[in-house]
Amino acid sequence: MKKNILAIGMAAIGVLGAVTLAGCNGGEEGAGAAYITTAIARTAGSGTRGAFDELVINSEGEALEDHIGEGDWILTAGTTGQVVTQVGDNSAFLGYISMGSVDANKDKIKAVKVNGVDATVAEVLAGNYELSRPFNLLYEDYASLSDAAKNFFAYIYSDAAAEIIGTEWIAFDKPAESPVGEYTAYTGAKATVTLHGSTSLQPMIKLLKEAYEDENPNVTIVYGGSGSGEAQAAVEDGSADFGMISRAPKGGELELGCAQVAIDGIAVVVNKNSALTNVTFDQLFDLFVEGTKIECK
Amino acid sequence: MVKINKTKFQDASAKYLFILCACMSIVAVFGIIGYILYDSLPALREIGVFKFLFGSVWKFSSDTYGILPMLVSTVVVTLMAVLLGGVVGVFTAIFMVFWCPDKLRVRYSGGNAFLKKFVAWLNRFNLRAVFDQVIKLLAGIPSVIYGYFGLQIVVRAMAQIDPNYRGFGALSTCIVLAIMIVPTITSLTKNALEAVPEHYYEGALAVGNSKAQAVFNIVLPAARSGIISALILGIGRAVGETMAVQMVSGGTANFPTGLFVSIRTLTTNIVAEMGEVVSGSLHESALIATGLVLLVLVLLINFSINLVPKEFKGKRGVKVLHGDASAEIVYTRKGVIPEILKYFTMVCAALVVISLAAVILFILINGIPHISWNFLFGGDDYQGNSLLPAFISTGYMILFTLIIALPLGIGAAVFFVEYAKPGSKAVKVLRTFTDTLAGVPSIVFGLFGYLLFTKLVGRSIFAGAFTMVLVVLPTIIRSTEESLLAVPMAWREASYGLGAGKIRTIFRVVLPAAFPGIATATVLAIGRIISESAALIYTSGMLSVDSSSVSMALNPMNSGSTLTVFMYSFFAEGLAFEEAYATAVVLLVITALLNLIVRSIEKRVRKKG
Repeated sequence: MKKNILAIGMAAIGVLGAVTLAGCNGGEEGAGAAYITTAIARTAGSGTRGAFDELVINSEGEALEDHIGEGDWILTAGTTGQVVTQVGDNSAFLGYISMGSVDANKDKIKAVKVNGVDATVAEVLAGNYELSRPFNLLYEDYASLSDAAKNFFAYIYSDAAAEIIGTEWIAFDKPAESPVGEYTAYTGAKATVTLHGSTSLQPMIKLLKEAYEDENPNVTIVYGGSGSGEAQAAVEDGSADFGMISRAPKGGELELGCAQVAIDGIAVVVNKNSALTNVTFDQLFDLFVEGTKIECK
Repeated sequence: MVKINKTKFQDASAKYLFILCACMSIVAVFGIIGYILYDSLPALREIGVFKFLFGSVWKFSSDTYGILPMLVSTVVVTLMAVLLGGVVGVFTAIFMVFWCPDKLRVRYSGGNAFLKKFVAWLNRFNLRAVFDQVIKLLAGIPSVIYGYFGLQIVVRAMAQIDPNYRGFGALSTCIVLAIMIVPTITSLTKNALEAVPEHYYEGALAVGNSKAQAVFNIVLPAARSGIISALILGIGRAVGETMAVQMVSGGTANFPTGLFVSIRTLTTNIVAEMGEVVSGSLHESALIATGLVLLVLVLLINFSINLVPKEFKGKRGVKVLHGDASAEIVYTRKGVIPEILKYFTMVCAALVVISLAAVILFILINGIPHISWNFLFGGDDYQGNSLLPAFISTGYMILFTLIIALPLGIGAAVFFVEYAKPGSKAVKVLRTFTDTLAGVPSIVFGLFGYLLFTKLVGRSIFAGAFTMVLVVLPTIIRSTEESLLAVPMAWREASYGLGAGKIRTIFRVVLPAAFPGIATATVLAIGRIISESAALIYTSGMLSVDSSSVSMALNPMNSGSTLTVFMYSFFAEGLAFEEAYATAVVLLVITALLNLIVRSIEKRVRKKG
């Protein structure tokens, strides 16, 4: 009996060691894979997915959204973060995320050129980079917003905020008919402003929050959510002042107030070790629709 | 005279109160089914039930919703997982009952005083009890932790053998699920084996069988109905599992045509797309209808347990089997197969120990270096991420859930034990509903909470707590009931004899005597609340990691992330995992502590008894 126990113990330690080693080696593959074999799509309904599928059009004029189906070459990620995690872990993967999320994750992933154009704010502004979409905020109606919420709203359109937004996105000027006033520092009592919805907007809101809270210590900005679709419900049930959507409003969202606050580029990202530097719309189309591998060079 | 009437009135009204508590399960089950069915109707009507169930395309952009690939993936992955986890679980249980020695007998004759002490300390352990604790700990680990383990260890290992280096998909999902259902299957199989009358085993030995032959040819077949029930419960657990599967399955709605094909199960279809729906759309309704299909599937699986004939109830040797079932057992089979199987049980037991050790070491090695005072308890002025808001939210969640669930659960248990006639139809119906509620997957609770409670009180801790009440209610009822049953009838009779009314007897005699059992129920419920994530993400919400703040968490009308949800958000946001692992260490410590508490309560009760 003693021998048996001993044997079990030894076996346990042995296998455990093997497992631990396997786990440690997995991440460091050195040079990237020779081919991109796998495409990471976002979940259906996501603002990023909608924009990407609509904007990627191959040389025969076919849009990705009319042709993309399922396939074993496609993994589907629920959030921006899941794309980053998966691409960051495997050099045979390709995904797409908000341009604003690339910088924070550059230790894991990199953006590649699309049709030979760099994924930068300047190129989006110049109209050369073809993957871009609007960032919108939803709200119940302007009059019913709290003072703090109105103040933060005004801040988003201020010059200071435009500078912050301009680092990774494109600030959007306040429309002429907008009820939003000019920004001055908040003077009211302690208050919380809540935003809920798209994960693509969150990196931008994070930067704005930090700068805003420094100037207005009485206001706490809180944000969260796992997709554009949560925005409407959160605004309607009152659990958030603003809903964040990374696409044009639709359905019941059209009955709420909606303000565009920025333009975002969608970056096509691969593992930072990948040799891939450029993809064309045709390559993207074929990868997502048929699983055609892309050679990394 | 007046006084007696008052007592009578109290007794009668209390009785109805208890009945009301017991009926909560029925209300909950019908509420869940009703709400989910009602909100599924638009999709089922517009798409058609047949097209919804057997359509093989799920495509948001063209509003086409067919769940066949997910249905098939769910069934295939579950069956594979139960095959793998079932074999390991059943054989581990056999090892625990028949071959696990009570004590380690390590001998040490050297001169090193420290080693001598260490060996003596090692030998003091009751191995069987330790193994029991290992299984309980495995069962208590939150599924998000299994998800991280799957993502970092299983998927990476699978990528090495996948020709396309993906690793995500059917096989990884199946392995992770298998690890997760082993504890359930092991502990239930163990109960079934222990319920087989001792004379089966002894009789087999007496006619000249070896131990292995007696175990595998006699005891195991005799326990088969219990083992089948265990496997069915394992299937139910695997079908309902959400978060861990979401992290390793790949997420695309393919048919499972290969080991490394990215798949989506019914549960992950809901959790992946619920965040992206426009409310009131066909898409939302189709997702809720997915929940309905899942619910029906799980209910069917759980009801099928009732079809398994019950052979032995109670503890080993307590009840003797009557009838001629024993005549079927052939005593003459011999051979080497049982001897080989004996070693196989040891391999399986080792596998269980390895997987627990692997999961725990994985978390500890990666997590401990990132634990600091500020990470644990840093307030709002601390710049980095801190667990304090999550601690507060978790605390609130536990508090509000228990405030509602404990009186309801205890009241229901009192009705079952003190008022209901044993074996009456009403009790059977009530009990069936309680069991049904226990089998509902947590993502379905989440859907229900999203449909009802977030509409009532907004996305908030309260909405999450209301949802959790339904999740923990069956545990509390079951556990309290057992402890009430253990209170000797004579105590009640003595109390009546001294002139106390029924209600007085219950509150002054029975409930205090059953206190340890109620305490156990509470601790189990706390464990369940802490490990839950799928039911909370769409009810109490998931905050961005770096925007959660103490000031926000202090108001339970706000949304908030509990520890487990907080841990999941590192994955959802693509942050570095270090602090997620540190959170996991905290969760592991809490789980282990809760297990210790339950064990010490049980120990005290046994000493007293």
